[in-house]
Amino acid sequence: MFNYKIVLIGDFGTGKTSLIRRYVDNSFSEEYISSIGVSISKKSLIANINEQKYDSTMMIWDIEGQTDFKPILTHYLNGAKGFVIVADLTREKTIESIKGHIELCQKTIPNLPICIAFNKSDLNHDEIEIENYKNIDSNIVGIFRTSAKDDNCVKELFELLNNEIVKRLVQ
Amino acid sequence: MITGLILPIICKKYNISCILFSKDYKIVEFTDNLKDFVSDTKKLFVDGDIRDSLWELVGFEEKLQELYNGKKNYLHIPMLLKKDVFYDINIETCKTEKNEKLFIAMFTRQSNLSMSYLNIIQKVNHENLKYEYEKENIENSQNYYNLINQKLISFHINQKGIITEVNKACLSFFGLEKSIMIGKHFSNFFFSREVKVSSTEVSNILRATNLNGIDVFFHTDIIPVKSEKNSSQNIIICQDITYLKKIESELEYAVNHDSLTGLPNRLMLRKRIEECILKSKDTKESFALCFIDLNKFKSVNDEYGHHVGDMLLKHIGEVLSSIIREGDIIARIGGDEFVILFDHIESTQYLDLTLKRIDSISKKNPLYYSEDLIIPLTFSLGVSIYPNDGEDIESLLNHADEKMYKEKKERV
Repeated sequence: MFNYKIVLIGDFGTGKTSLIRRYVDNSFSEEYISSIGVSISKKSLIANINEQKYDSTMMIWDIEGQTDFKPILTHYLNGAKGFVIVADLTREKTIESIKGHIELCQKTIPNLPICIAFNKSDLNHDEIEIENYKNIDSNIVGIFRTSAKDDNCVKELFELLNNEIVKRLVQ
Repeated sequence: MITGLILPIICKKYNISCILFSKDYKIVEFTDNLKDFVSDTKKLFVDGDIRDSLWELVGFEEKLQELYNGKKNYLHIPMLLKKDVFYDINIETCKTEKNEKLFIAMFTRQSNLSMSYLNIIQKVNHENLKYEYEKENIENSQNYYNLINQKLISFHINQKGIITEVNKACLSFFGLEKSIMIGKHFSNFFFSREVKVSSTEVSNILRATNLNGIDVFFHTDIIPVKSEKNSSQNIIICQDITYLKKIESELEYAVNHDSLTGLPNRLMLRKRIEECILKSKDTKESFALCFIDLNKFKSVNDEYGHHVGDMLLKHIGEVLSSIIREGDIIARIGGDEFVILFDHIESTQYLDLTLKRIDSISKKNPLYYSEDLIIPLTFSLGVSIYPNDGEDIESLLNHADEKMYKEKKERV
């Protein structure tokens, strides 16, 4: 049994809390309530590594998003085993921030697996080649176009990250 | 055991919940009010693994071991949210009567002041997100400029400040008909920051109350134009800056106050002394500064840890605040240094009596941190009186500081 912590990082309003609510409670709300501080959710998972099953518990840290006035507190990243970087497909500024968020993760705890969620894929947005973002950092293990509203690729993202983390813990 | 470490009265006063756990994360004891912070209370029991009930600690194993081995003095996890309660966790180590070393985690709820600040931040974020979406949606639209006109309030005034034209945004803001606004002086609807508006000039910051009774601040741009009959007019364009005003007032508060005690800080104190000097020059009244330094504060921090030190400073702030009069201020200007500014003093006898009161009330109000830890308040004081001991801020502060150090030396 592996218990570990992951942190969702991104600009404010990218849908970090909605992704977690969709994944943990299978719920969604259109109302935007800006997160302050941290709330922690828990999800039990099974990782399949080389045809062997491993139970794990993922503690998901939902931290407040970065704004022009407030950077992300590195305090909150301590002790994590993986990161999810969240951007809003409809707001270019949040996509431009991805690189900075990854640099922050690497600076705080290097070489942890990172997934990128290009969220709000249900809304109209400019077409972008998300696969190009894989070149930003060698620790990026998965890139997804997600929608917390339509439940698109949310489970896949967290399960991929879980598999990658457990694989590293087993080793 | 917890009651021996921290008194329930302190826990209640500062909204603290506690839990003791061992090096291998086994729960030893916890306070009843800890249940507010636990998602699954069934997993909270003595000998259970603390990480099963308090998920915050998963991932912190390495940091906790550093703490246990004395490489760190404390572990602080700020601004956690559970069950609509915002709280901080402070973890330190402590020793039991049997000399066993344990962790003590203290859960402190955020104050109402912090919560109102957070609500403002949430609203600002909400507004900014709305603004960003609107910007993205309309930038490429053909109706771009029309939409701007619908959002931006504008009106025309003549040389006498009489409104000659208003746009739709302005009418819907006030919920008024055009005929009601035209022909009236603009100051019937908009107020300047300084309240007084001259008949023809428009202040750059205006305030107006919308149809829902909410005050909104505007930054105004004034564009002079010549009308057909060659008389000059001004077009006033108003941009809503309410959220900036809110941020400004929050920042102003943060700049002028000490975050731990909530008392005014050095900057605020200096401003108030300057005001007192100006006032005293007119009224010829005296005012006084009293420098207060807590004796042996460093040893409290060294011996009992920073949490006790912080509680002591907060306690001192509360005790001293209860002594001073309305109009006086108590400021924290450094580690354990406080200054009281007595706005005006009738006589030196009055000042002597007040200082004696500080001494006696402080003696009666030690910090009851725990059953075994009661910290008495003893101060060294130094006073300076305007204008006898100095006519400017520096000389007044220096004089009081020197007198305080002299007293401190004598006491030592």
